[in-house]
Amino acid sequence: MKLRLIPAAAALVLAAGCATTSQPASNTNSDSAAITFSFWGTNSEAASLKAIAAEFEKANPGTKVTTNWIQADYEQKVLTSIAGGTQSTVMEISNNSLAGFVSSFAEQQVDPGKYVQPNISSALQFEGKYYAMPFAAKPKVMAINVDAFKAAGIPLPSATTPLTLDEFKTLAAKLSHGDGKARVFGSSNLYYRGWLTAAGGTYYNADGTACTFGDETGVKTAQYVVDLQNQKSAPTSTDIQGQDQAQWFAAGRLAMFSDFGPWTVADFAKISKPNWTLVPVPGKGFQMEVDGLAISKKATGKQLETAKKFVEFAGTQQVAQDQLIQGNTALGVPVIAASVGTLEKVLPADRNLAAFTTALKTGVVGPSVAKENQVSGDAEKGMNSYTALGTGKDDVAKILPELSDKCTAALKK
Amino acid sequence: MNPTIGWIRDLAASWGVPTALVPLVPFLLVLIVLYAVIGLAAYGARKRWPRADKTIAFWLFISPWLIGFAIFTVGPMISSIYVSLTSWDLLTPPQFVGLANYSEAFQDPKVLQALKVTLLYGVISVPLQTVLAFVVALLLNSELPGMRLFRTIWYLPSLVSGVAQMVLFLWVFNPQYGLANDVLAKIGIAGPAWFNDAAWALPTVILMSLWTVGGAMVIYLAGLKDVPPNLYEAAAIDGAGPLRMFWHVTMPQMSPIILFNALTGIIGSLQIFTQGFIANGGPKDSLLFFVYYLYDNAFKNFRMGYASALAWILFAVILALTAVTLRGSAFAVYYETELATKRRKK
Repeated sequence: MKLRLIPAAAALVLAAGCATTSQPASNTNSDSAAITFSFWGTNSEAASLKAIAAEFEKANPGTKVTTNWIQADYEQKVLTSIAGGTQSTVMEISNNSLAGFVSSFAEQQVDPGKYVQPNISSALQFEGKYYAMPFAAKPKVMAINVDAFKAAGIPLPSATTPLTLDEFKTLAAKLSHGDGKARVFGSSNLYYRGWLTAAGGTYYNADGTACTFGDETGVKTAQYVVDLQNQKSAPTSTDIQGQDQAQWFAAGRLAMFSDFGPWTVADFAKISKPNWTLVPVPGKGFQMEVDGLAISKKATGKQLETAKKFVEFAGTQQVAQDQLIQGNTALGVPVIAASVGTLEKVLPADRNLAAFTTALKTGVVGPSVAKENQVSGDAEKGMNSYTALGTGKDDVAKILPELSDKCTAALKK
Repeated sequence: MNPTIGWIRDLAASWGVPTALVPLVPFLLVLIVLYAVIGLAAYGARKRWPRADKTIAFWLFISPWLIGFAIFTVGPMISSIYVSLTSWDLLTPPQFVGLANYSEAFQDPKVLQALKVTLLYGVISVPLQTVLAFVVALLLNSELPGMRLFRTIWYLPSLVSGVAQMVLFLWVFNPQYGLANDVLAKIGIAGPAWFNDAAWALPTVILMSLWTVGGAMVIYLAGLKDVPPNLYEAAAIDGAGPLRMFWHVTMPQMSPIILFNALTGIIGSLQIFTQGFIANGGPKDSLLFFVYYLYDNAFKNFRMGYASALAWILFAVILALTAVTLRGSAFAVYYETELATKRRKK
């Protein structure tokens, strides 16, 4: 008789161990003021976020923020944790990825007036609601090799007014010289999506329901990039394969480096020769990424209260915003007026880090689309495979509209 | 997370168990209870069937593996069958869609491309690797001074992991700064763009795969050492030359080992992933290997249901190819034990 009970007991044990529930137990304990906080980033970026968490604990005695630094495959790991019900209470999220996660994030109250410009808060809105509190922006600027300009007898571009795309093209041609592996390029490799924004085009329409890079501006911009590569004013993707363009700049092989984000400051801080400075990206500038802090929908009670306090603290308090700059590295540009100048002081004034402040104030953001990774990944792979934006040879005027249509179909699927 | 497990974890934490060890507590507890149940079952079985000591001991000793296999292999496999019948993005609960994922896969041109690339890789690389590994093993089977050093040198590349190997070869085949094109340029040949050229990407990966034949070579070498010398002596007495000895003695004796290496090679080639992943599928999907496409759907597009369906399609393809190879090999592989059986039947 006893033996007959054994399988039942075993089944009970296994059932207790394997049964699932819709109510996760860990990380969402509503009675505790302790929260968990997931984020991505490099060593210095993680140091910034850990410092913000430490400042919050100091300012709010009795609270505890356990940090969870995810060093690779951030979105996959966050998604897996959400599926397993073990997500952190607070999660860092980029405006580009927000749409895909909104079903797991709690709605937040964001006051747009607290930020230096309205695009910063609107970047973290989806269908009219806020799902993350902005805390860092990543506008782009352009580094120029001052010595190369002087050697070519060309006056330096304005520190505050962007060049037009035609002026940039002419300058890049004038600054290029030499042959083979020793060629000096007027410009670094041109990232099509960035230059599309600079030219006034968009990748998606305003509400993120269609892809628009195949329109007239998109094709003209692609041709602009290809022309610069063909006239050898900018290296192709094959030229830079396995190469570090910051090192090329340091070695004097690039006169203008157009993809300069806040995280690039640390690398360039080491470069004393050639002399360099920052200017705005030509045209309307590149699209700006805005990072925010989202709260898990599962958080309740005291934990939800602490999480709300934490995201508010990180996004709107100067003591937290100043932590975005650690030494000469920057996770991003602070988004509140009181801290926005912190980055400018990292290097001497002649490096013109103030260009970041200008870019922040004028930076544009695109709509967040739910399947961004998939649709833009497929489109960019197509561009790189078939056209000279990558390693192909086909005409951009033929390929881009086709890819744009496919991209729109994927968005609507 | 299960509330019982959450409760056990909270209890362990309140008892002062170090935080890092807390997740282990419920696992160990379940294991202890499970083994108590298994122990009881074994005790009961022993009382009922006193002569079955060895059988009970066998099942007891094998139980750790059986439990691990059931939880970590069979469990996920069964679960993936169910997932393949759903639409699941990880964020929202899975929706049952029946065979829709399978039907979509059969109409997806990328699945066809992935199968084409993967099978082409297998069809070309497996025979090439087999021949090269066997020839190298034959050469290294001779007893010459320094032979052990050569064997080590040939085997060493097999120790390099897939990602490191791919990164290394991205440099070797870099169109501008790579070793391959530098060497070709010295003899007046303008090298291709290798991984950057849709026509060259797959041949480049095949070429790369030959770098790691050391693993198969070691198995062939062990097989060659195992061929009885008296067979060669008998063949020599019968007047056989080196070629005849190779064809009539070495090849039949080695055929089961060749089959083993070919089978594992086929299965491995169909599961190729790293090269496609690092090269992002290659230009024009020229390196869109099946497992990479599966991964892309699961972890880039978050289509877990579709990815699971692709996994089962791959399983079916591997099973079919293995069966065909095994069936086809019946005419070409020589087993000494088989001969003995046949003899007994006569």
